[in-house]
Amino acid sequence: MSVAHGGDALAIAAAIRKGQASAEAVAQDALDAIGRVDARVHAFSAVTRERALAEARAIDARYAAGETLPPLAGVPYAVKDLFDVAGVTTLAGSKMLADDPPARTDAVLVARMRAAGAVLVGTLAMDEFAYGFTTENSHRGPVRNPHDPARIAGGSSGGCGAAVAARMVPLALGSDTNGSIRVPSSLCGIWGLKPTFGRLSRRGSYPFVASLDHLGPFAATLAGLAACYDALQGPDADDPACARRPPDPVGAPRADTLDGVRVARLGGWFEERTTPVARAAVDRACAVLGVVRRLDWADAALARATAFVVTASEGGALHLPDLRARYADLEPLSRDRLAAGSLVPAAWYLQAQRLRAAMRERARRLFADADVLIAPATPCAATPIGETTLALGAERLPLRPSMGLLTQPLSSIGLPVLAAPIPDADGALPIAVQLVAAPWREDLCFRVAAALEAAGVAVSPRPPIRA
Amino acid sequence: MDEDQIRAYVAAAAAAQRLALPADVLERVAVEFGRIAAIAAPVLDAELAPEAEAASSIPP
Repeated sequence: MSVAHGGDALAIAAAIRKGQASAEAVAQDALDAIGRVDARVHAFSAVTRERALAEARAIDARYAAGETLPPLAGVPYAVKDLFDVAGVTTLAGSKMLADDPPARTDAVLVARMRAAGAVLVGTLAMDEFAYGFTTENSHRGPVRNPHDPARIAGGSSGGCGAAVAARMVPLALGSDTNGSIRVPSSLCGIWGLKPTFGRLSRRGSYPFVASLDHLGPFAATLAGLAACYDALQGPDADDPACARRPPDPVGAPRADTLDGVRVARLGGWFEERTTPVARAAVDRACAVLGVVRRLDWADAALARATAFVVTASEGGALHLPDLRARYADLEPLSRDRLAAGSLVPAAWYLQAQRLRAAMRERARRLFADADVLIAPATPCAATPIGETTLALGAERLPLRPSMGLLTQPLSSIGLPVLAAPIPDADGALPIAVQLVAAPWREDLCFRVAAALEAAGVAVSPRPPIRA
Repeated sequence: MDEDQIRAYVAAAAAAQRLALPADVLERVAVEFGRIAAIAAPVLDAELAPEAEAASSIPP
């Protein structure tokens, strides 16, 4: 059974469940694929070969014993290297953590993937300490986009984006503080989910911004994304930021259940801060769904500003000891920004937090008129590695902080967002749209995504570099 | 804030934070701080209702 089975996690799980393939063979195939392909994209920071084969053999033993296998049994996956993996040092994209002892236990979400039968094949590269949207990591080189290796894969979960797009793994876990799941999903053309803030446990992951950090899945297929998300859900009494809610499984996405779901397009900021290619993706999605309504979210610019201030302040404060003692060892592309963040006045930070609380309440009014909102995920498609500016209309903005212009406002108030790849019919670089719902309504995001997939508009395109 | 004010603030705040950075680094940090300040302007300009002022600073 080839991992390049379209990157279809559920097809792999079904084949193993039916005895058509062994989990060990699938794991070996994934490891071989990484060996063949990763030299060209540099997505992996570590390959957990022994663990992968041990986990796979355990699945095969359960099958041989006649056990009912869990839903992701034998499915290979990888995690951003800010997730604790037992026996592996959690690098979080840095150089300075390389001397730290290995993690003693798995992160909670890694443990849940293991409980679901998934097989961990490695950890994935990222922007240092998650502070970036491009995964141009100076310590280890950039992650390259499988659609064009001269271009970025997005960030900060760029390794996730590239690994899934290249079909080295069908599933990956990443993080999203201001867009770090949605940006790589868009630029690499895969499915990604940033759940509601507090939906998934963050225990055992390296933090960035406690007020804004979300963890979530990537997948090459919508059904794989749903199955992975369901496997990750559940309260965690030992994570104070994790909501005490029972799981809300979304199940297998069904395109026939869109009746009664009101969908609108986000205008204003989400149209002004884009290029024609991003607007065209939203146009295609809206056309097949028959969306004519446009809603303006008056708080979008303010929401982005509050997230920017909170990120700068909390990120700078977290890394202040390293800024004092090991400045030269920090990522050159972000250390000056981290230092600047550590100097943000407390009054700015507190004002930003109060505004976030007020905006969360005001955002409820948006969902009085629509159940799901559509917006571009990124202002543009993947840019060349090393590019420093982004042209939006007559304005030239610094590229690295601006790639999250469209994602940052939405995560600022913790709304659930599903990134759906909407490829151009001409086979151009991939790009995605954001499907946004009210808090705790990820199910609505999946329903709209399923409709887009059934219409043939949303699909993860296969890149030239792939397993 | 103009550029001189930003440089002066960054130098003083860095000292207060015990960040002993060389002059060329402080210059770059000042540029980054200027970008934060520009983006933060709507935050500083926004008005909050009195009940929001009294609310917890960290949203639940």
